[in-house]
Amino acid sequence: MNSRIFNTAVRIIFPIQIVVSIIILFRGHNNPGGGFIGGLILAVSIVLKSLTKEKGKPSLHWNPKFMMAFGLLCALTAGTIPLFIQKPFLTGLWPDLNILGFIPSTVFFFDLGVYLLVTGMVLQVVQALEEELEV
Amino acid sequence: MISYFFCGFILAALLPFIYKLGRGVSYASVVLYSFGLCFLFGEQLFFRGQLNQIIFSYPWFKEWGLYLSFHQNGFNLLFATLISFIGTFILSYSFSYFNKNEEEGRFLAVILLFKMSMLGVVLSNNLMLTFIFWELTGITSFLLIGYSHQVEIARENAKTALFVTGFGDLFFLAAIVLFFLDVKTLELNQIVSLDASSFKFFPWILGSLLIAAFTKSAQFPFHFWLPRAMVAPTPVSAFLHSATMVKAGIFLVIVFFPLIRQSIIALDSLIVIGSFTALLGAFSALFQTDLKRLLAFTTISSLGIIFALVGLGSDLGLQAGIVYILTHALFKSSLFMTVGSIDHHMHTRDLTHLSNLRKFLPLTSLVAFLAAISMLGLPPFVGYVSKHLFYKSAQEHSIFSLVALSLANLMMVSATLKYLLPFFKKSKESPHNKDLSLLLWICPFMIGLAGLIFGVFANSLTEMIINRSVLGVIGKPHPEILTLWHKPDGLLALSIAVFVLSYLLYRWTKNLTTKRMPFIDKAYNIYKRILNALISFSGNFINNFQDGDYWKYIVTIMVFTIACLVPLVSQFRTPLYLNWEDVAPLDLAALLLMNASCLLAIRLKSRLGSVIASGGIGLGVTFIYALYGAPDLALTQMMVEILTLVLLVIAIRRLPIYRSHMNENKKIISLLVAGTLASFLALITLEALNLDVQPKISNFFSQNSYLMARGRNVVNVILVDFRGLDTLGEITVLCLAGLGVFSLLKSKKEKNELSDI
Repeated sequence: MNSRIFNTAVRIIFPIQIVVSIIILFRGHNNPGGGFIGGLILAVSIVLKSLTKEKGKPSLHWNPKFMMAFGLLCALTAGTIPLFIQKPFLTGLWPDLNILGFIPSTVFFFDLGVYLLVTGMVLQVVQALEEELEV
Repeated sequence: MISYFFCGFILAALLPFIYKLGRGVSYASVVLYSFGLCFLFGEQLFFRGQLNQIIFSYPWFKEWGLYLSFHQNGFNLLFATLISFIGTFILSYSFSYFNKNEEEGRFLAVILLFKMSMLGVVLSNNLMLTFIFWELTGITSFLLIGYSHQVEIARENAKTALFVTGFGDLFFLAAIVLFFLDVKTLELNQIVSLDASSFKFFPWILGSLLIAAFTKSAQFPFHFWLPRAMVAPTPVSAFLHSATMVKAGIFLVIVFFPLIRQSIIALDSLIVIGSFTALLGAFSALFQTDLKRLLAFTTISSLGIIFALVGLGSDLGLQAGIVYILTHALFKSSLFMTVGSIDHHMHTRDLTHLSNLRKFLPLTSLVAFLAAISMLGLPPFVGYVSKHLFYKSAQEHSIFSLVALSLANLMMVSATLKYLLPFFKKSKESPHNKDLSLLLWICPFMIGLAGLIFGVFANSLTEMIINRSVLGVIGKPHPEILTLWHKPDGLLALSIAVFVLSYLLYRWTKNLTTKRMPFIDKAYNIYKRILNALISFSGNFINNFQDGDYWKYIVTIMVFTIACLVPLVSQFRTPLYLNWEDVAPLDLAALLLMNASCLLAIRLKSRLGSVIASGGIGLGVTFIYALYGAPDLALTQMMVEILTLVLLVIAIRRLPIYRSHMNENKKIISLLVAGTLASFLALITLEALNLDVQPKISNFFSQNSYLMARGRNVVNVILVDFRGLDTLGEITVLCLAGLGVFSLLKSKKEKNELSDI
């Protein structure tokens, strides 16, 4: 897309969107937000960014398929960890560790997996569509 | 022992990486591991073979009677030892047979996985577990048959094998389900000790089991996949299609022998199908000129003989069958390997082009004789012991089975003589020794030697092993003491007569080729026709129901939904009305926004305008969510709306700006269908307002969210903690959907590119 207004706007909004998406991911457990919404926001921001670019250039350095696979693996791993201490699959574990108010629980990593997977999935679809339509 | 067994699966997973370290290392690790297995099972057979015991049991789904349980008795230990013994030599043989190539790491991993799953089939005590391993053998054998996947015929034949055996596997699954419905357990040792009267579906169970066994062991009319599977590399054929996988069906029948012998019909069908296949296989073998295919047809024949022997129903028949399994596995795998060596050295395995192999490949010839003598049934090889036993058990049963089996044996002996032909035929070419590779003859030699050892020690070693196997199946020792030397009797005369006749038959048929063979591949053609009919049927079905007209799809979905809702809506009795006092002004504003967007979306001529207008509907929904305290939902809705808009905008750039006109009829139908569905949904919503819902679950969630899951955002806690498994399932689906979109678009693109050329 070749609109100067759009391009300039995206350039400003893009970093804000990314920060917001990460904040939303982290605050999810206690406030509105979470991995799903965060992932969607991140995906929207990247899609918008990719619309400003010229054709034929990759909009992202990460491979969306890798993001999806990694997200799924992350969620699965977070679910599997409790099995090792004789707890049911997907039990939330909360370690005694507090980093500036953030506790790295298995639940968080599960959410992180959702975050990555959602982003990857949206990007995958958009990328596939773009490639298809450019032919 | 079980942990050592499971190590095999880990080793199989690691093999492609080990292969990168070096060819020798990877082969050494597999061969050593296999040898360990062989030693372990052999030791168990020697010292604990008379016992029938569970060696491992772990509750898997206890409520459903599913246990990860393994057992051992004389019979399955015999099988396990045989598999790992032959496997060890096949794997060492492969080292010399294959040249170094990229696919080899994968090959090693798959063949080891096959071997482990085969061992799993014989050792597992829970039928569900057996079934899983059984399927694994089918899949791995598919991969092994299609090893040369660049060749179309290899792919085609691998598919044939997979479809035919897979078809039978469905019957095995049906049998398992029926077992569970009948006796509420899948533990093998409990099932086989039951009486026929405790089953309601007894005939169905036996029928399914027999079909499963017949497909897996290539019995008529499913025999055609086995000769086709010979496109596999020879070590694979030697391992899968002579010694192990094709015996799985027989294994199944023998394991259920105590049940099967309670039904005369099952026994008779075993005899009839078995003898017929034995005759058909041996007869077809006479026409083959490709050594490997010749052996394949004799394998079909031998399998038929074993089925018929088991079908005799007597203890003696069972014993004869088990001895034959042992004998056949030893001589056939070693014969296959010699064919592989001939192919490797002479670059052909067509016996019309081969001659004087005795001089070209002296050591390989020695091995071939060793194995062939056992196949011919001459003393002092175990083949002789086996042959005597099978004549005796057939004679005990009926004159029909004796005649059928003798006839099959007669033709098989002729085929074996034909196999030996190229070793003796004179040629003009001056012979020189090409037999240089040690492993290519020593491996089949070791297996052939085992045949000799089992023959010479028939009344000690073989006697003990077979006795324990029979004990493992029917719980009592075998009826006939094995021995190599018999008093001359009628059977010996029969044996000699068969031998003489088969030599005459060989003289008469040695120049036959496949061109003269009657009814070639009738069964295969029928299979092909069924397959094609299925494919064209489903193709037509899909074309008729999904013709690409999206309007039709949407109308179909909506009409179907309406039809489903009719029973529900017709139950509403209370007069439904909306209490206008409950409606806040902001709700009205949102409603107005949504309705206006709706109208715009319908009326606008430009596609882009319509899409943006429909975004307005989403915004209205978002607004309502936000009003009623669901910020999470509102945020998600908003993001989804934006994304949909972006996706549509990307797509719309490719479409004409103005919409094509829909004709009047379609417009009226759309209006009617959409109007009905909308009013139904409105009615349901109103009814839902009147219902007195007991919010037990949501109370539980909101009360325990912070206490149990340390989160104040109930929605998120439900997503990632209380209902984490649901989320895991959903994101897996998302992942698959993403990949699906990708591959659909990708395949379409490739097709377009192809058609451009």
